[in-house]
Amino acid sequence: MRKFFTLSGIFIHLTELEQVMKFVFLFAAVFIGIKVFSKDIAIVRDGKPLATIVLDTKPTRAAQFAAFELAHVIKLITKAELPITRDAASVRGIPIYIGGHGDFAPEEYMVLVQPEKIILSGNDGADFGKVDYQNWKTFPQNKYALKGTTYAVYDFLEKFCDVRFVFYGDNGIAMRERPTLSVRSCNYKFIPAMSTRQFNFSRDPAANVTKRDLALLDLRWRKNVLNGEVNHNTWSIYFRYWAQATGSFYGAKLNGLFIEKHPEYFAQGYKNKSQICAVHSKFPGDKNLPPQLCPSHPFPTEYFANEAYEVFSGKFVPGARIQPPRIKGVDYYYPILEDDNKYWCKCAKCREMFKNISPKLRHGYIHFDWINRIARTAKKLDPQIGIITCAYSDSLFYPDPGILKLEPNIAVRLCLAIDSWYHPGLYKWQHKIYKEWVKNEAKKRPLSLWLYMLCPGFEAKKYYRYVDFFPVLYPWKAAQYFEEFVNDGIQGYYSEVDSSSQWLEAYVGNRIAFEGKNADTDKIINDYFTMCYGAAGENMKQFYREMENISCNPANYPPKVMTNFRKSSFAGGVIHTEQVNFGLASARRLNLLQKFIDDAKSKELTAPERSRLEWFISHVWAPAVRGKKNFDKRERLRNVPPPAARAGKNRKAFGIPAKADFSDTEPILLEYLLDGSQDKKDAPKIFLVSDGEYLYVKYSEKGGTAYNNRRLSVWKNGIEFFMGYRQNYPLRQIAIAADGSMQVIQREIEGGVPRISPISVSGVKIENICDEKGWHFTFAFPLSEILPDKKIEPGKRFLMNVFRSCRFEGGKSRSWSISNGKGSYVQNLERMGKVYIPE
Amino acid sequence: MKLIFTIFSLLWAFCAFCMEIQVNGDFEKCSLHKNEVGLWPDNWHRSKGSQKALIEVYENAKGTHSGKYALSLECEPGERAYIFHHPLIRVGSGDTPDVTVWMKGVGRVVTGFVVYGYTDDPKKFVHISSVSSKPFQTGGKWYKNTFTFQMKSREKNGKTYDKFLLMPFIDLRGEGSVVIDAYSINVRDKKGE
Repeated sequence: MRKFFTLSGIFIHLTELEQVMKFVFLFAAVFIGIKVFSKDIAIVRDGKPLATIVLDTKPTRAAQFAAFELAHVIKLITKAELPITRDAASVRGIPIYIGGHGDFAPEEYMVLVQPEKIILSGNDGADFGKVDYQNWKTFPQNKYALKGTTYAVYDFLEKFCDVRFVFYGDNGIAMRERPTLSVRSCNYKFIPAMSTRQFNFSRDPAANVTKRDLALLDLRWRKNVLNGEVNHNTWSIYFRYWAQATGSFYGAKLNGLFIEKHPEYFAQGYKNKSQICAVHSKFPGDKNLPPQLCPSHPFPTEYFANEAYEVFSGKFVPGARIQPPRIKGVDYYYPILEDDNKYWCKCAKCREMFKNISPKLRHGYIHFDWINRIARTAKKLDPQIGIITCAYSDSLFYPDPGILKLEPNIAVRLCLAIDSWYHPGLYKWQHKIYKEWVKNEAKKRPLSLWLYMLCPGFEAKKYYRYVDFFPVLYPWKAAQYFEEFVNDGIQGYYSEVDSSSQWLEAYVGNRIAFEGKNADTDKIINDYFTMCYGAAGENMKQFYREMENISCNPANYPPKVMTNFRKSSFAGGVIHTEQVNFGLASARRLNLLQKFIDDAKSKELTAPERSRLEWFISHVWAPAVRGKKNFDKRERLRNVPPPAARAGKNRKAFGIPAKADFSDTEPILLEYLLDGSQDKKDAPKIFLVSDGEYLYVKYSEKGGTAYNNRRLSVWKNGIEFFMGYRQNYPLRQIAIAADGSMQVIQREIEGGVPRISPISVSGVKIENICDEKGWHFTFAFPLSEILPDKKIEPGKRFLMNVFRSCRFEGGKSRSWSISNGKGSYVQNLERMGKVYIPE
Repeated sequence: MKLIFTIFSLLWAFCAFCMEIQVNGDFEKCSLHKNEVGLWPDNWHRSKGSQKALIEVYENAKGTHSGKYALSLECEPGERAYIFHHPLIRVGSGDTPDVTVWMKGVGRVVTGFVVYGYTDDPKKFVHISSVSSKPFQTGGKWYKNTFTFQMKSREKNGKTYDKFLLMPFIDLRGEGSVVIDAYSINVRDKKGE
């Protein structure tokens, strides 16, 4: 009963019993053979080109670039160089037409493969600039660019030539080298599912990545935005109606923009908050720059409606951060989003707005009410103008339509922390809000997403500063989230990505955003492993599976961490202290994961596969292992309680350092070196006293170290006090240089992101002596200003650590409380000691 | 010899009638705790509902009631600082636990016990009830506060319980800031009444 048939459809070895079916089988086999096999079209055979790439006589920028890419990748596969021509008469073999050929909707493209011709084309817009394949500046842009022909070529390479763009540069083009390249017949058109596909890598994952590599990857991943770019951008009004600004801002000189002072256009009720406003550097010396605008005043509404109209009309508005151009056939949305802080206007009229709404939700209503008014005003100027804004942190929730209905010409981008959605509380809260928006608004207006894919790398590198970290890897979860977004009709996404660790999550999400409901997510992920790592693909898949099981399982985190969360868009700083992060990295888990890596390394791989595996190991796995080892070492050294000190009691000294009496006070010693060792012998001393109004601080160091290095900056040769109320932000940092100059810095979190801002504190006096014998200074600091968020009173305590920075040859930096950081003093906030103010 | 016998008998009798339970109520035994600010008193635990409150060992030697350490509880409006002692304390029906605590500061503090009952095996216990004091007096100086109640047989789910396990707690409810020290529990048995 054995039967065999060859690929060409000819049977051999048929039994008697199968004679009845003979004709049926024969007919079917011949039919299939014709349908599938006879239409395979060779474009390169045995390393010889059998096709010519053909451009129009006047090709678009996208078509020129796409032709270069097609020729380049086919050469990598086959070593054959397909000629590129604009002269139809010089075509040899099958013509591969790039560009042209019909009308397309925005972003639409077509792929037609026939034995006699191949057409790869799409909507390119009317950009005919010349492309130099070596010069990235001549490539099609990664936003506001119609470049459908590039999509057609990349689709052709992926679907018909088995290529995947998994990384930067030629090493990132995953393919199988072969001398013959044949493709199947087909004919289809396609429009990407999401029209905004933007990803922003937090840093270059490899040191040798060029700007050309970055531009190529953007194009290969089909990055684009046609409308709907939005970010914080309400500052142009400051340059015209607050004061004369200096410098430049997004391509415009600010000098000369100022018209007239109108403080009433801006948030009332704030003094000394300049550092909060994102454009404070444009107003040097201005202590009272308002952190926000006044939404109840009619002028800012009119101003931004008019700004939207000006930009819509094609004018350049100096000082406007984002100026989206109009694209034919695409709805227009101008972005409006307030500065990234929560210092909302406190004027009498604003206080009356939505005053019956709970304080936690009130700002959301004020925000959307303001956007509504701008949208209405802009629509009167031109009915084609829409406004896009974000539902972000305070305004993330869906406003009750019984209280506020959004204008029809508003698009909304929801800001969501999918990198932390394994946190049950955060997920439940954010996902419920997301679904409310989808249910009520997805059919009425474009809804898009701002997705954070930054944590825990963000916490490790920016927030807690422990640098090396155990990653949270979640490609299958990312696929699941993006599938849901596509099915819900989400119009686009912008993601902030930690590119050292979340590479695959970004890749998977972007592929699904492009392919939409057609996307076979399992295949996308499986192909990635197979093509990226070759024979080691299965091992790497197992590694990722295990990592996702470990890092996305709430049971593997302390219960306290999995019950608390901040109700805001971004989850930076919420979960991954170094204790929590490395708590995931048990010895058993590390051993298991190491086995997958070892197995992967043992496989026979091509040079690019080996290179990609080594990149992963050196950028993701090795830091996790190294980080855990160093963390364990730090924990051993920290097995000493943070110190506590009591400031002495002083009679009223009115902030005059000379009147402070330190004679009865026990000094605190800067006795720990940063490597964790203890050195009491030469430890500088700090004395603290208080009169109930000021904290008086006396510092005393023997020897000429400070004097000999006095020309160095305060960060290399200075004293730094870090003071907070809790073991976390906000912090007050006071830095004193050898010349007695003092800098006061506020470190705080806005929207989950640490901000470092210089501030001025009045009434601070310092007496400083620095010579070859030693360094001594005394200063008085108002108790009310020691902490950014709380007034310290007699009898209460604050947390502090003090560092003597000696970042020069032979220098030994040291601290009061042992920290054993890697150089960043905010790494060890939990190591701050307690200082009690006397009653 | 007779005198010594008498003294020992009285001591034994006193110990039998009134026994101080060791609960580290002077907060002098502390160790590092990963999820807390520096030191944390041994055998005391923060409740799940008190994660936002500032609860920590008060390390201001001149500001304690006695010894090197006290306990500081601080809450913003709407918060709660609730700590409890574990291991649990075994008592019987008729016993009378007396709580004495010194405190200073401003806030609405109550103390008390969560009461569990068991029949034979103290590892198999059921929740019976909670008993708590009225809010204690607090202020700018040290105040001594006391709380007492008598254990009585209780019925639950058709069973009579006359053996109990007590879980002592201290609870600052709402906005406040207090320092607590010298917390002690003495249990008087029936003979001591």
